[in-house]
Amino acid sequence: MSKPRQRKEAFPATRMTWIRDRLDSGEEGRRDVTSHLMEVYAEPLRIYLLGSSFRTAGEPEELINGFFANRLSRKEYMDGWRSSDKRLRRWLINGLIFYIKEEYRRQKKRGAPLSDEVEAGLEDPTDQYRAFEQAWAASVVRRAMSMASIRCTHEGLGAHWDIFVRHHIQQQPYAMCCREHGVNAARAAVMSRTAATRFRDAVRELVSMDGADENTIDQEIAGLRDMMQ
Amino acid sequence: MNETYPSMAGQPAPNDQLDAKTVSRLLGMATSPPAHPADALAIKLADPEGREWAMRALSSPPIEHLSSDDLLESPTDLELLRQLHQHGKRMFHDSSSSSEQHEGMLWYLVAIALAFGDHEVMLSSQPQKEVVEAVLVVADTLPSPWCDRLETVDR
Repeated sequence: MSKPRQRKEAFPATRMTWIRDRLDSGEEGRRDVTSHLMEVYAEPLRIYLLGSSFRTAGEPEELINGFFANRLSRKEYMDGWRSSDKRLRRWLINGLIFYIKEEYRRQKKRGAPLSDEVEAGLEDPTDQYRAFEQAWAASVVRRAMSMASIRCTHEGLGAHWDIFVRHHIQQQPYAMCCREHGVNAARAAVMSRTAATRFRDAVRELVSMDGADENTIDQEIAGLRDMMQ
Repeated sequence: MNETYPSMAGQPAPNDQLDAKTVSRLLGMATSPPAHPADALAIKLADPEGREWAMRALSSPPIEHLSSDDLLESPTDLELLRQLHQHGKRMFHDSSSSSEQHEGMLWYLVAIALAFGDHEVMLSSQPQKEVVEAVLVVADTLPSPWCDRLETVDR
């Protein structure tokens, strides 16, 4: 006979507010946010610059480092994002474009002329946005893989992660990638599913941190997938 | 011919392996809901709070005369496992909250794993391969000794 059931409600904590919480927690938190932004957003911004009319503005790495150093030293910059409805990646790319324009203006004031191409770019900086989105999606996947890998290792699931990578990235059949770990193909498929849940969590965490909420995150991920077609 | 592949354990894939198609496919793995209820449960248990929730649930089996220690000590009484299986199935189907559905799925899989591991009796009418996989996906997310106990389904 069944015992009366006890109600047990427990839901996984969301990381959607991670950036906001870290920004509110002082200097160390701000450093964590800067590190996160560099890891997830620097490469997409670099790809954007390389493909845009701003490519003549200088070395992309220098511009991006200068942009992050300049903007993130101001508390109000990220506060602006917090009070906006914008996705973080959109906020950053707009910020980068403004930063480059500011640099141009300073350059112009010092008497250095701008090329025609650069002048035109200042009026139409929206090109290459698709390339930026594609690069951001790839950056999210790479970062999520790194996070999931660390988590699997920490949880003693290193073999699970190895099988996941071999099967889903290197396209090896389970019958092949299971050999090194002394398991059969069916068990390898299960181990890969376990690692996949860590990867899934990491992707959703990163997309949440960009500003998507529970109601929009699936739509957001679907949009990114469309962008990759 | 046997191809050899370098191990990538602990390492993200090199950038050149992440073409647009691969990125899209991997992103597709992150959309919800998961295809299988066992995967949904495994996702919940992958989180530390979810694991605590599972430990609390497992410490108090919903069947009279069946304790947590009984479940952990082989062999567990088959009749009690049959009751646990039925209870889990009912709870999964009748509950409206996802938390109770998860709990129902947990008991359902625990009962199946132990009945098969201890008595070689398959309580589920679902294809054995699928059921065993579902048990193992959940076992992977549980700490010892529950993980080891559930894995007996595959021995």
